[in-house]
Amino acid sequence: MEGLSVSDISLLSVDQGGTEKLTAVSMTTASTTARQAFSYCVHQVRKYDYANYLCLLHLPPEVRKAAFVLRAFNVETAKVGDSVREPQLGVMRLVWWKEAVDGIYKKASPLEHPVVQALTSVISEQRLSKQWFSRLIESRMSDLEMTAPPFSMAEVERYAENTASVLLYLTLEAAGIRNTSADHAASHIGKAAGIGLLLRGTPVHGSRRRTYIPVDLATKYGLSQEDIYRGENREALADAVHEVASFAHAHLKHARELAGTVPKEAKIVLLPAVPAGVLLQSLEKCNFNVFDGRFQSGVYGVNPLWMQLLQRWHAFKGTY
Amino acid sequence: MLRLASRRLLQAESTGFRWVAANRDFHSTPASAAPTPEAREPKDWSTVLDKSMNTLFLAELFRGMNLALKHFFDKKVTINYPFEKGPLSPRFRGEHALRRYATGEERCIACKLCEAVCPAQAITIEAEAREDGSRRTTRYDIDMTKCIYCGFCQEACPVDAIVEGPNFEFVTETHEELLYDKEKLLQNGDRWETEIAENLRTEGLYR
Repeated sequence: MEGLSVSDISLLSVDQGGTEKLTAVSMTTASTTARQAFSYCVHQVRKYDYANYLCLLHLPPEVRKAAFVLRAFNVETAKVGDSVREPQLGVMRLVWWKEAVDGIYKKASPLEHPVVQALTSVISEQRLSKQWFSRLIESRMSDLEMTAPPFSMAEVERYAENTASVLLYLTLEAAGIRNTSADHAASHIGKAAGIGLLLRGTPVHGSRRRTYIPVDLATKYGLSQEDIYRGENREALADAVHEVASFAHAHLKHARELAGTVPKEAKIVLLPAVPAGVLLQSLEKCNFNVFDGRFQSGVYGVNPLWMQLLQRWHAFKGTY
Repeated sequence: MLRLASRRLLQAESTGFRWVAANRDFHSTPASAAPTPEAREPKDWSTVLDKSMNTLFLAELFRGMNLALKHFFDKKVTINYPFEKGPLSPRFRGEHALRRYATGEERCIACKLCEAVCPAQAITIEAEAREDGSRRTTRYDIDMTKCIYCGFCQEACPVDAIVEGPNFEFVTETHEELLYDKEKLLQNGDRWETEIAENLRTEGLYR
């Protein structure tokens, strides 16, 4: 079921209205295995990260390829935490990913995983710093080993930066954009998107007896960890969620204030700010109740078509 | 002789009783000794009438039969097993399977993490490089009689190759048939792929 082959790629170009063919140049040179590896990446991103999948469709073809692979890498490492019961097993898998990335940079023969193969070909074409990959994997590892909820908002922000912002940094690198304000905006957008994602996952985390609502905020509103896990004490939970979401909102606002200094080609890379904003808006609409069915349905609580139109509009106007 | 002996025993008992009784006094009467007026059922006419009516019309019998009749029309809790099956959790850990990619290529890359993590040491893997340079298993055996179905192999697998599928009906007549080799595991994967893919599906990213 995973990784449709050629049809997937043609579908991608249909999504783009036929104007930009993703694979026309880059993939004719690649062998069929590389082609299959890329289509697997596209498929994974579409399946698990639909909002960002829609964002990536607006990128210029040469960047889009790298961006899909990077997002697929993120999907694979993020899925680890949800598929294991024993954190130690998850760490084992992440160590495998770490070694796979090390292998790519050491020019060893790539491991037979479609995402690793696609990443190998991307890294051979574009210069991507290894430190971002290491940071992503290490923050996921420490997240798995985390036994207590984060103590303060700073920890949550650090996690969001190391998982979500890092992907934007890498995509900017892949697009060949070296601009301080673009990086600055990417940092804020990543934090907003990362925090939003954690808030959206609160019911799922709760079912596994985890939470990312920091302890100091929870105590401020008299909210116990058990309340968060069980979805009880909704008023206090909504207050705490509101405060966490306000941090994300502030980051997003800050990033949008920087828009004037960000170069035009970077803006399209920073398009994930749109779904992050939509997520926060739909959270606000359901009064910061993360258990609300409307918030959990659709793409970040809105119709997929609306999300697509919104992104298209922003891409057209050159904003994020 | 016998009568004499029994009389003597009686005497002994009675004297013994008297001795015991002599050790008590009535200044502190035990509570249980107090006569309870409720111990005896009050026998008025209505109670007597109720009881005899119950007996006369077999009321208890009909009440019991009514209960039996109710259960006769209730929804059955049993299922007709080989044709009907109970609900299974998507996380059910049954018979193992090795999966393939949609391209037909097998997923397993012989990283041996499952072999390392298996607490029952039921998995044996041998690997060598193929002609095209990719590393694959030449042998992938699972001793299904050693396996404790903990699911660690599935959780450790970085490529989602080895999974415990939803099949729980794989009884055999001999022990040897439960020593699964790679071919059998891949066959299982092909047969159960739809169900396995559906069970592994998650809503999206949460972290």
